[in-house]
Amino acid sequence: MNWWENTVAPDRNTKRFSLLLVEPYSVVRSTVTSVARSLDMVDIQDAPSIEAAAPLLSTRAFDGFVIALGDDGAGLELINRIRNGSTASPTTAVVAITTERMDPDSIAALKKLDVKRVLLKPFKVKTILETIAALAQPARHTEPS
Amino acid sequence: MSFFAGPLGIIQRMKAAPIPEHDQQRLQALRDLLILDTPAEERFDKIVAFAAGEFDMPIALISLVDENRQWFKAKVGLAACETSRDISFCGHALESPDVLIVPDTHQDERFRDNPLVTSAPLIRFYAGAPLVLPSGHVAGTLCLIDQRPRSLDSLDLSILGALRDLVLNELVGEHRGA
Repeated sequence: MNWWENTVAPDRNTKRFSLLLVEPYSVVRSTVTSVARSLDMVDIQDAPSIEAAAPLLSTRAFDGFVIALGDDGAGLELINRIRNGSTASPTTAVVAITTERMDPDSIAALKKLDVKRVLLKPFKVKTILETIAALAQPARHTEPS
Repeated sequence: MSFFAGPLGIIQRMKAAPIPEHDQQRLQALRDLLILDTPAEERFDKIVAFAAGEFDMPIALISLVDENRQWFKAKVGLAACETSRDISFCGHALESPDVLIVPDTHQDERFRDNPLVTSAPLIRFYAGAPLVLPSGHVAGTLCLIDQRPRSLDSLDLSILGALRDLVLNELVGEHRGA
């Protein structure tokens, strides 16, 4: 059994983990989504930007997010919106971010927002998939039979 | 065609890339794409660059197998724009929908005296994901090449397959699904 099967493969009694990937680079976004679906890792949706994800954010509840922060502050604003209940997702949804740079002040801000993982670019698709598997693992629970 | 003395002194030779049964129809499907001998394009270049980085490979190619040559629509780490079909690795990937993996060319009788192995680019590892057109014919491959023996795990193969699907989407101009 491979690591992603061990951590996130669904069974009859497992709630399916839903995840939104916000990633502007199309090759990364398409590859992550395609592999996550083909291996049945999680229920994944993707968007190239937070603006493009707006309809999903208001209508679908996600258990987790992988968000490219970008330079315009929209990524941090989205995490704040998730935490204060301004999206359809639970305020406790798990969040990982991708970014090109990180400084101590940013790390402190992300810790306050309970961000679970920071991926510094450049990174490999394999690393994002491992991160998604790790995000999904705590959400597994057995529903009452 | 090159020859070498194999085990027990038997003279052996490189196995040339086989010609598929319906190669003329395959060639027609390839030519209908109107892509052979066109200039480099960013939409393909970015995929091979990404593949080379993702897998830490010195060479990554989109290789299209024409009648007597393999021609590279996009390439990283290789100066040549084409090679002869009979010595091509990608020519061996035309008859199967599965990824062709050669972990170590020196241990594979089909390839160990191939000129692409015995001289530059000194191929030791090859993985080629076939570009299967809607007609069912294989136009070529998205391939990864290294100069040392390698292996790919099943997640690597899934990632390579997803990148191959991106190439196909660009080649045929339609989405083929996840």
